[in-house]
Amino acid sequence: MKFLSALWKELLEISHDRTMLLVLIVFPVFIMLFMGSSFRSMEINGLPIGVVGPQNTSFSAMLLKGLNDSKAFNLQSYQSESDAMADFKNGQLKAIIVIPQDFEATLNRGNGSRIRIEVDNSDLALEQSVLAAMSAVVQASSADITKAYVSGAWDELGALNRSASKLGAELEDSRKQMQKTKSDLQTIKKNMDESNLSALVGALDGSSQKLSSLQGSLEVQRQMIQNASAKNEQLFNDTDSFLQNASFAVDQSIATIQSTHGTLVGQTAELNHTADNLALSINGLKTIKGSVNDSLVIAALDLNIMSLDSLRNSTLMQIADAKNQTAELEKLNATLHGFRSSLQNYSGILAKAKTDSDSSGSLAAIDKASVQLILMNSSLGSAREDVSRLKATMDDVRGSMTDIEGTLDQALNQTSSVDDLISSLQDTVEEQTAKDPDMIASPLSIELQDQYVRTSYVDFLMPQVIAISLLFSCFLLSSISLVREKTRNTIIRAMMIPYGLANMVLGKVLSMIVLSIGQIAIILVVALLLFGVRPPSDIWMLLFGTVVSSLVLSSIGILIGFYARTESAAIQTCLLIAIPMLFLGNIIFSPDLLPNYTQILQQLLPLAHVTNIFKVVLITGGNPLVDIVALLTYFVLLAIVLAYVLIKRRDITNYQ
Amino acid sequence: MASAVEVKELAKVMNERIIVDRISFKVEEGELFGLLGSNGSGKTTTFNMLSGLLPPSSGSIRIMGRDIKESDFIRMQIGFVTQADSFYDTLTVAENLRYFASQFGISSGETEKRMKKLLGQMRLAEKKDSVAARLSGGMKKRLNMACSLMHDPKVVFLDEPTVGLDPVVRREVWEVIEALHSEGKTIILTSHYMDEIERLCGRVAIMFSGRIVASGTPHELKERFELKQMEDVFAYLMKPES
Repeated sequence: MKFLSALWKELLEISHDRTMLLVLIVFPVFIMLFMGSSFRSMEINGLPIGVVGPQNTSFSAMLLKGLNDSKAFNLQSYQSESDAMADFKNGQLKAIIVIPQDFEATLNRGNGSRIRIEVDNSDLALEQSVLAAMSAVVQASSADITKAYVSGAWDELGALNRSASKLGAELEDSRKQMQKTKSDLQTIKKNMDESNLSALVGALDGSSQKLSSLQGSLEVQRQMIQNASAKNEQLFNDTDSFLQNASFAVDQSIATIQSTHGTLVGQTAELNHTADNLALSINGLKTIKGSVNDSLVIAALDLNIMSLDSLRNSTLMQIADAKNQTAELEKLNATLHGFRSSLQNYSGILAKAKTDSDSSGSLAAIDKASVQLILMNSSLGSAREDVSRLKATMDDVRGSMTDIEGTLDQALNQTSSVDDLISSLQDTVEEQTAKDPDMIASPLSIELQDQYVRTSYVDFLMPQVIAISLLFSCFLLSSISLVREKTRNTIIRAMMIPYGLANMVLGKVLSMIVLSIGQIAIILVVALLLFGVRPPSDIWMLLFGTVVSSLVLSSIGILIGFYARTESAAIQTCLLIAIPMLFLGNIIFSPDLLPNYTQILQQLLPLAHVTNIFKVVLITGGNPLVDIVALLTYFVLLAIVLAYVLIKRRDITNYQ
Repeated sequence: MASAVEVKELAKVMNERIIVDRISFKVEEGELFGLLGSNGSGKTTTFNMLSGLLPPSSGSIRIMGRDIKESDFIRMQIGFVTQADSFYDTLTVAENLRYFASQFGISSGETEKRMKKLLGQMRLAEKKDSVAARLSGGMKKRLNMACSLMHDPKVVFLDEPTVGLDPVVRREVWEVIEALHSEGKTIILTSHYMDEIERLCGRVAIMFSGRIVASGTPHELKERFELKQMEDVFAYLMKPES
């Protein structure tokens, strides 16, 4: 850990060296203040410009207004080009705008006009800025002029469009009229088609035939009615006879039943009387039986009683049968009475049917219908002839209507073509006039999307400020520090210590890393407090970038220190290396503006990578891996060179 | 017992010019040996080779019995007090001493112990926290010596330790050297001052044009050349015809 004591020694040395300390603190603050206040904006402002030529015409006034409005220029009017040129040579003007005398007339004729600009090209950056600003204004003015032309053309096209619309409307009316006529014709044709006269003729013929057939049918019916009338008469007579016979039979049956019923009622009464007598007899025998003691008598009495009782039961049964028969006869009698009533109804109905089935009315009606049919058949014949004539006439009309329809279709097709033509014209005019004159005057525009937040221009200067600060502090401090080791002979003492030189170099590199971190912290604090820049998004990557950058830059400084004999020689060598780096290290000029071979050279310079790392960390927020790898490669190469130097320069003569 | 320093046929050729021409000598442990010679005689080159700062062209050097090429061991054994001051003048006395001790890997406890001793020995205790640049010339010389002695070397090389100093300071430096010698350290010094040589060195070697032209105790040399003063001996030997 001897390198840590070397690091501590370096820091102690710097802390005791007030001048060095002041430089370390003041330098970054100064750089930040100087750069921050000087480059808050890179836009030109109020640059004195002379104007020669007509300035009051509409187009020249438009151009000069644009230049005035840009605020980049302070326009000064001159009567002659020689007067303006005199001030230009004296440095009072930075450019002269010469407007040609025929400026307005040329533009009015629709031709382009060329404005001459005399510019101070002794300052490359200023020349580019003036040209850029003026080009923007001239382009805007050209666009205004084009816009005026296009707006006029659009007005004329608009009028043409309106005429076309009117013509289209008239054409539409005609078309509607024609379509209505066509529709009417189609309706008539349809009606004619629907009349179907041929079918009508056929129908009339059919009707005539049907009438003839109907007449035949009527005759057959007539015959049939006459036959049916005769059969009905016979049937009525037979039925009537049958009804009379049946009625007689029923009457006889009723009389028989009534007679039988009377007989049965008499028999029943007699049987009831017999049964009563038998009961009296039985009771008498039972009384006798009770009064006698003789068993034989009693037995004889019991036998008589039993016989009488049996007889009586038989009598009672006969009575019951007689009652049943009587009831049956009463039912039969009622049935026969109902049957006789039905026969009487049938007789009534038959008499009515006989009256209704009189066929004379029907025959008269058939005769009348037959006459009507003959008359109708005659009318149908006349109608058929009329329909045939009408059919021929309608065929002629249909042909004429088809011709008219064809003519109308042709006319409609023609109107459709004209319509398409008008529509196409209108579409074209609409399409063209829909275009914004501004867009036609300047069809291409740029939409700049700032990818990175910038609170002030100083935000974008931070990488350069840090890179410059690191470059000078690492280069100068490390090289001077090593030269001092030589001039103070402490390097000899280091050579007398095991690994003394290596530890000394390591200590110096580490101290430069620590100091660089301190410097960047100072720069950031000043930038944050005074210029309100964005704080770094990735502190760790900022630290890592600082470490890698100071590793490389301080290694270069130490190498310079090894070969420089005095501090002034070290400073001069540092400047000799630092100045090309400043020009090519992405500090002053953007690498993209440099020639290809210079860009390659730039990639070989460590400062470009240092600047890129801080640009990525502080602005773009990307990954500076490529630049870090490039710097680490540098460091490896430098470490190899340093090791080689340490080995080769172990001889004290190198330091005396 | 091995010599503290043993030089055999040591030579150095630089830019095709012989600076040191096959010199040989021995310095015993605890001896205070003087290397004398005029400017350009090769004594500083010899000193540089002895301290390992310059590789010899030929010959051998052994320090405490070990070859000079065993650099890490040798560096721990020797202390080289340069003619010009070689410390950090922006640091304090104590910071300088601590730094050099740390570079030799000495623990902080041991460092404080040695620093206390050396500051007392060099009479710099009161100036411990003074910035080196503000010290007087004598103090700077003593600090320079102290820086070379922080790792407690056995062999100390002193390259013209009193050159440019006033007589008072010279005496102060002598006293320090004598104190070191009394501690048993082997000391080899170069000097142009014969009074210094006579007072301090037990034995001397005188170089001329890269060669040792004479060696012995000051007394022996005066006797050998029948001269009363070492200065006369030196002057005699510096003549080319001698």
